[in-house]
Amino acid sequence: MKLKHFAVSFILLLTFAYISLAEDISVSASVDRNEITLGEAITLTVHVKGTQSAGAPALPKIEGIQGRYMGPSTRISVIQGQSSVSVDYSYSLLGLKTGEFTIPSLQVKYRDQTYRTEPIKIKVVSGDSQDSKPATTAEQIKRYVQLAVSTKRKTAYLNEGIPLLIQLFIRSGVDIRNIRYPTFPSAGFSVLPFEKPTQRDTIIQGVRFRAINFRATVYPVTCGELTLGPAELNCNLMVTRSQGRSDSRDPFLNRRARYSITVKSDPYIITVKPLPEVGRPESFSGAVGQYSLNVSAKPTVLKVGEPITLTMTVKGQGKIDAVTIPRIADLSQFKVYDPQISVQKQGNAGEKTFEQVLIPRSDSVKAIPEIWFSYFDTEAGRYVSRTKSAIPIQVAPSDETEPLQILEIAEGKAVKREVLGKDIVYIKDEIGSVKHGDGGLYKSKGFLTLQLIPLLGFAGILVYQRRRDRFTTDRQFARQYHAPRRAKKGLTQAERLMESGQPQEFCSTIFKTMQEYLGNRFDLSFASITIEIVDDLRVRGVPEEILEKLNAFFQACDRIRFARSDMDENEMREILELANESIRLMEDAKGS
Amino acid sequence: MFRQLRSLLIIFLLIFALNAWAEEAASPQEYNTIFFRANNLYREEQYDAAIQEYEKLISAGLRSANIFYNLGNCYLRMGSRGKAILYYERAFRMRPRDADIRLNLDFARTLVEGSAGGYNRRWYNRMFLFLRGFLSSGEMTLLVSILYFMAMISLILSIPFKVQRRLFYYLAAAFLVLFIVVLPSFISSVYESEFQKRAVIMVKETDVRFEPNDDATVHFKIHEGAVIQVTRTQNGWHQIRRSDGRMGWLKGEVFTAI
Repeated sequence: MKLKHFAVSFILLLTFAYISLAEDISVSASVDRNEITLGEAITLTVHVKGTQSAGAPALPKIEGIQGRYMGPSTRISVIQGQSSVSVDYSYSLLGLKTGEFTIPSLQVKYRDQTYRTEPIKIKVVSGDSQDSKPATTAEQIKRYVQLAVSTKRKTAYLNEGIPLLIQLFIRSGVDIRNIRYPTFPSAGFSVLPFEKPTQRDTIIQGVRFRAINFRATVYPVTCGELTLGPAELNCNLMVTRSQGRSDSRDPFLNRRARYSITVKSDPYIITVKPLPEVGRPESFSGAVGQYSLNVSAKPTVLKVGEPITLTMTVKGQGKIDAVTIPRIADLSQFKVYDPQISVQKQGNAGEKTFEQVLIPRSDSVKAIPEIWFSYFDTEAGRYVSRTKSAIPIQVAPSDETEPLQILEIAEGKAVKREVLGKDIVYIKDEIGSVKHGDGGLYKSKGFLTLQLIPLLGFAGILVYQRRRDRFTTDRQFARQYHAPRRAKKGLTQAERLMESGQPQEFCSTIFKTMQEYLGNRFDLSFASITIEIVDDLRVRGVPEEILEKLNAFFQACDRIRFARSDMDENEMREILELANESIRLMEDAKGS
Repeated sequence: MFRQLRSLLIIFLLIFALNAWAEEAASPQEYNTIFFRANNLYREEQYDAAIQEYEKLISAGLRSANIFYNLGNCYLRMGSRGKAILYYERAFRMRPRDADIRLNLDFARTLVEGSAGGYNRRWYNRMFLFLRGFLSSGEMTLLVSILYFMAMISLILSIPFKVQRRLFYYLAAAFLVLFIVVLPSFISSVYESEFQKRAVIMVKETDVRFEPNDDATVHFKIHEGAVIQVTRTQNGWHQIRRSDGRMGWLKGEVFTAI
């Protein structure tokens, strides 16, 4: 265990020694207050950074002030891997009489070097001048919290970037919460947003303060005397016990309280000068600051119609938003598209990049012309032009078979659109359907003849149907229509019987035939037709010639039928002839 | 009733077969041989020789959309825009629905200076003559004939079949309506074939004048491949109409009828 302790201590010692050796020391002094009342004490602290082995400085004798050494307090801190050590030597100083006193410079000796602090003025006042009420006035707030506006210069050019610093000083021991960004009237200025605030400790008139720095850049947009501010900052003031004796008459130090306060700075006046007219180049477009120009082109070996991306970057100090695209000498040999712009800003500095697509119109183009960018250099007080010489390129003719590339800009990038070739479709492999001759189908005789068929068919069926309907509805017509055909049939049969030598059958058949014919012809009952029909027919207007024949026919038939006498062929033939003639004459008479 | 409709269908198919027989004829083997020989010459880029072979088929009286189309390709490859368009137009007339013929004809027209001409696209033409660019003349004739036949057959059947008479009347009316719809396209096609002499300019360029004499003012110039309509002929002069309607007179046989 002892060995372990020894090892740890040894290692720590080595570490401290290393740190002490590695760092350079700094010495400063501060008081917690500059003003005290009679009989009151203040704390004087001597800060030694970088070592803890420097001895406490001796406090010189101060007339009217009683001093007492309080002791040291050491500190080791490690920030972002960097370690540091320090030691504070505290003294208590009691005011014995009223007046103003100066704490002289204290000396710290370290390694044969003497380091001195700055003298500090303090004031001892009588107890009656102190305000016994709690401190709430702006004046008293100002003792603990202050706001200050400053720039590095009192004059500037129009549009020149001016670094602006707004500092919030907070007295040591005073707790500030909810610090907001300061605001300030900025008529005549264009203001960039504040950067991230930083803070550090500082000593003002011997009093230690914590300083919070708000940095921004302002650009005057008009000429003349312009006022920045006054700046205002809202925050909450939280008060805790100080390191020294408590003061019952000062509520800021006696208890923990929150005060919402607004801290105000003094205004700051800047004189803004216009940009000179003399020496202003024609290409100047308002950029003020210090800039550099960088140009590149890609590709530099290409064919007609292919794009080149020209990248121009302007970088430097100044209002980068006001930077416009650098000028290019002569672009008539190129097809030019709108550039794509990108900006990177950091406070009053930044860079702006212009990507422009150029397409050479012919293979005679040899270079991208000269490029230049003009600005007003505020430090030099004159106009400056940054120039880049022409960039040589090699442009080959486009291939004959390759169609012209049509480019479009899609989201800032040139893209090729597909161009389709045009030509005729290939020949047919088969002879296909073939016809002979030049005439159309409508000229074909066969075709035209074919078109008549439906018409004829329609007419025919119409006639047929009508006739058929008549046969059904008109009985007399039907009988008359069928009469000659049936008669012919009967006569043919009779002739056969005649030739076969059957007189009785012949007579019976021919008589019956005539009966049927006359019955059908005149719409009479068959059985009623005898020789007396002749008179009937006479009344109907049948010609006498026919009636004579009919009469002769019936007489001949009756003789044979009733007399039962035989007849020879000549007689049969005569009767047949009479029948044929009668029917024929009656048919002819019907037709006429 | 089913039997009757079946009979109707059989009649329809018979009519179609009869009419179709008038349209097509089988080509002898020797014609195919000549055609394939011509195709081979085309592949070898011997366009002149290929044209001669195709022309043999034409001289033999054969009419085929494929022969005309291949001839058009040959002439176009040789730079004869006029003849190319002539044969493409003939092929198009025989088979208007063929996409290849349409494409090549359209392409050839783009090569013609000035107005290349084409079918009338006015609204009433599109409305009433919608079949013009879809069916060939023969197909339209066939269609009209079939519709006429079907209408007549329906009417004929309505006479004996009293019970189904109403159905046949409706059928006849439907076929008649279709017939009337198709008829304008058919009549337009026949009119164009018989009375409107469409032709293609064969010379590189010629003047079209206001009057049929050499001293008349030139109205416009017309170029090889332009399709025109010849309206009148007089003493060696031809009155023509361009596709945009402009008319004038040109001299000599500088065109070939489609």
